[in-house]
Amino acid sequence: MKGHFMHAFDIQLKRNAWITLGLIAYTVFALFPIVWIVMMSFKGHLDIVSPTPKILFKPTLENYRAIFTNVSNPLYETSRADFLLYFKNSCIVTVSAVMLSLLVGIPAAYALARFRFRGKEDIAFTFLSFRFAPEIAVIIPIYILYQKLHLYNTHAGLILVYQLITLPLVVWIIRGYFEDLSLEIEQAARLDGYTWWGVFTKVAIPLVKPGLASTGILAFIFAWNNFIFGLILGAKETFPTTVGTLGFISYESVLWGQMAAATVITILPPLLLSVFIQRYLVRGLTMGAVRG
Amino acid sequence: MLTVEIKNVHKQYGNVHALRGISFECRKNEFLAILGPSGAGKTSILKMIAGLESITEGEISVDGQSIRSVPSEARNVAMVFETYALYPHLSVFENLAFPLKSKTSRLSREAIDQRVRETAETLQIGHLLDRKPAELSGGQKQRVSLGRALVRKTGLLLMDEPISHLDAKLRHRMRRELKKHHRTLDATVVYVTHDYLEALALADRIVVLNQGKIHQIGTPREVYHDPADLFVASLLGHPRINLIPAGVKKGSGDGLRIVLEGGSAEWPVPGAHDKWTDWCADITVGIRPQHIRLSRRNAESGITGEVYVVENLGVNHLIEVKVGTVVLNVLSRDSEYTIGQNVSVQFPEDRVMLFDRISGKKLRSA
Repeated sequence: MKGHFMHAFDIQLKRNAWITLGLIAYTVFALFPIVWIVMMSFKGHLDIVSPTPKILFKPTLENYRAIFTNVSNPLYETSRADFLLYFKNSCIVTVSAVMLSLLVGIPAAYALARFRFRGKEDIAFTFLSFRFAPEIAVIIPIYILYQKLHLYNTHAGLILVYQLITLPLVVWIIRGYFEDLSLEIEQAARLDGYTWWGVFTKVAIPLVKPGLASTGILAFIFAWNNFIFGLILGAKETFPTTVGTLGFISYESVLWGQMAAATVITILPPLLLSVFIQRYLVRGLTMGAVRG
Repeated sequence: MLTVEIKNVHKQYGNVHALRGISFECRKNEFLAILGPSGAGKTSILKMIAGLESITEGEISVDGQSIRSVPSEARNVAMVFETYALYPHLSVFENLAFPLKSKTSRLSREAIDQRVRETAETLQIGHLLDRKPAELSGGQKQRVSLGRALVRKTGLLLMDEPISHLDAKLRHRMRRELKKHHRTLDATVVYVTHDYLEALALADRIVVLNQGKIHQIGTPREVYHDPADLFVASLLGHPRINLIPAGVKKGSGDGLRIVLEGGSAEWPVPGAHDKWTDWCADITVGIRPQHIRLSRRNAESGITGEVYVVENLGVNHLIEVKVGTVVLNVLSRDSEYTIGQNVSVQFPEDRVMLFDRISGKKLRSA
């Protein structure tokens, strides 16, 4: 009996060991590029271009100083990377795009979840269909359109085109949250003397708040990471960081160190947001906890 | 302090005909219970009165005024939901204050505060005001949801199975409290339940509903002792009423006689019509378990049967007696019966109900 128990215990232990091993392997695989970039951002140029990859090196803050003071290496005249401007652009465009999507998308999601009207499913599907085509497929018509509407190379233009990324996400995810709310709670509020608008603002929105936070962050990450819209529809005044880091590639050389430093700074906002709001994120994505 | 009138109301959900022409009225300050099994359409009636669901056909009026075009928020109706439907993000105090803060209410902060505390005191939830619904027990949630309905002091109160999710003990206590509150309240109550005991205990009148149709409207006494048909008879009472297939035949000399199926017993029909032989060859005899009289000696006008099972229920004993092919449930205080024993069964004349077996309608009863 005891032997049998020990045997089962051993199997369990072995299984756990294999799972742990697998997880470690995956973690290394997933984190290695990030670790490598972080290391690179602290390396001097010679350490970076050394033919044998260097794990041990003398760290330097030179790359960060360069991107933050906007002084490129004077040796490479053609390299123009105004990182601070690009970072600011990214912040303005992404935050505004997410705010706009939430502002428009939350009422839309509520209407699609709760009201009965003609063509409801068609409208919902249209939102979703924005995500079907790859961005590259629609970029040229949009480019021509933007030229004519004078939206090319403007923050407003990028904010608008980012709606293709963020709005479907917001509408579809938040619609799901609203649909999960107990209908009777909203009916109770109606009988308590509130119009649909009162129910929406005083009951429905507060109840899906965790969902709003997680959806907002997801939308933020998608928008922040976008490359193609900024590349084609922006120019050097409006480039987001994703595009702007290309500026470290010059005729004479590639400023690997500064590019790495810029990349590290670029991944910080979504990373920090995710970590700080992780609790919310998990709760939001596994909702149903709303029911009293 | 309102009257509610429901006139020939139909409700259809797609192809499902949930209510098929319902008419009844609810008098001033009346406690009206709508009793029926699940799927009867009880909640649909409440939600239509509340304006949460549209009326497919017919008319609902409150105090003589049609409410068809009045939106829910303007109907001045309070409702207690089966699921309690508390606002999970608000404290108990805020839940109770919520209806008072609406635009239609217009009360000062102090007045709201006072009303909430008053209501909380009467419902003994004054100590819970700072808690969130998630931190309450089922019984406490129930009180809060009741409080939220009472706090506005509306003339019409709708309750949808408000205590059916509580455990038996608490349910009993809340039942009594509800009755007490109704007496001090100046309100007409429409109360939906599937529990006949709640309906009997609380209501001034009961509407018995099944599959979208009303079977009977009457006082608890009428509905229990004089059911309109087989459905009502079997819905009320536990253990269930005995329904025995029987026939009517012309007896020798003393008029009509009822014959239990299998010919195991027959007895004269008091006050029977001659007509019965024509159209009521098939009848059902109904008698409640507590009204059947058992005795160990052979009585003259009795039927003999054999004790099948004896269950001790405390005060009473539930005895199953086999008479011919029929098994009768009998409630008796006498515990002296043993399995296999031969007993004499008597149906007191004034307790026997007779139903047409085909239509289910009442033929005669006490």
